Amino acid sequence: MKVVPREPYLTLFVLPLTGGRRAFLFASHDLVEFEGGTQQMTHCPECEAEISVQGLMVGEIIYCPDCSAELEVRRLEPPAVALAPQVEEDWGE
Amino acid sequence: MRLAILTSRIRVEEKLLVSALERRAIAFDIIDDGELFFDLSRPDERWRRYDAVLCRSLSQSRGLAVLHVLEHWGIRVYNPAGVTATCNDKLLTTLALLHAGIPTPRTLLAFDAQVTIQGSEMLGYPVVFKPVNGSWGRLLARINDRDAAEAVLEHQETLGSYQHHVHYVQEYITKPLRDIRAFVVGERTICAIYRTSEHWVTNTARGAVASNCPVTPELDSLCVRAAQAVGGGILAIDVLEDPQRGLLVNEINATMEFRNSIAPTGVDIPNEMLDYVLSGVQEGAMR
Repeated sequence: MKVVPREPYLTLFVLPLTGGRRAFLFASHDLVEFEGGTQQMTHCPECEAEISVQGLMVGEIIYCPDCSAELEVRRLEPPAVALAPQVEEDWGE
Repeated sequence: MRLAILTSRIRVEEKLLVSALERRAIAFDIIDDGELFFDLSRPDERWRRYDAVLCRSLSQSRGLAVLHVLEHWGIRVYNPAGVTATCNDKLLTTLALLHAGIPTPRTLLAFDAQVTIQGSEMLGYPVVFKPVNGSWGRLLARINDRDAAEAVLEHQETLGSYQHHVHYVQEYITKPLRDIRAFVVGERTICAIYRTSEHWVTNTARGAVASNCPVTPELDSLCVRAAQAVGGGILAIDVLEDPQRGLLVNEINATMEFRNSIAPTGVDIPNEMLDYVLSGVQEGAMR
């Protein structure tokens, strides 16, 4: 997998504090481009964490890094994941 | 040459097969069984683009149904529907093994709970209750006494579907904390592993540890005969070591998992599977 660094960019994060106050935080990122297109991201249907499908296959099972939900990759372009089906009684070898 | 790999989800095994296909520059498509539908009287010509379809469905019922349809339409499939149907059903497997004279644990079949208890006591506790359909060691029960038998049978008859009202009861084999999983491809036992566990259920899906098992002429002969008994193909044979009777064939799997068996055996199982499929395609083309 070839990773091509591109121009850095800034993201503004707004952090809620107690008493209705807010903190503003700027963070710098290197936007990376993978061979074949920009890194493909989607969201966990359970907790909305960002999920990358880069390098995966449709039908693969992954775990959400935030909430540990078992997710099935349903589509790569555009990326989509769904909660993985529970084990069925007829599953096996 | 173009193959189709029928899947329900992509496991390590399917990724290994995909890697092997890519290394050999063989064209293939991954087909999700959940997205299929068939107009049975109108064969879908898109299937004709494939020289063979390798069934890797996680769902045994979906996989078998697709195999039946594709075979009916004249598409080459692995494993054939008849082989898969036999292996998916423990009763049919046992009957096939008995028909071929392959040593296998003594097995009873009954439908009524009281009759099942009588049969279990004839065999002598402990016995093993198994669902006729099922895999990964799911819903197996070692029954040590009449109390346990009554409890499990009541649960099966109250909570289970009609399949669980067919009681398949096997003698318990006092095996040495392990069983043998042998991989037969065509007419060869390509490798085998011991599956070792402190638990009496020794499926790797249940945590058993895999290590290399030497393929002796005896093991090879038994496993090849067992594979042929169910029709042959790409099969995983589960073998128990009985202290008195020696090797007994327990079950046969038609959509085998092999992720834990490559490293201990050193055998490239996905490539062996592809060799078999490709040679079958080539033989079919020459006819």
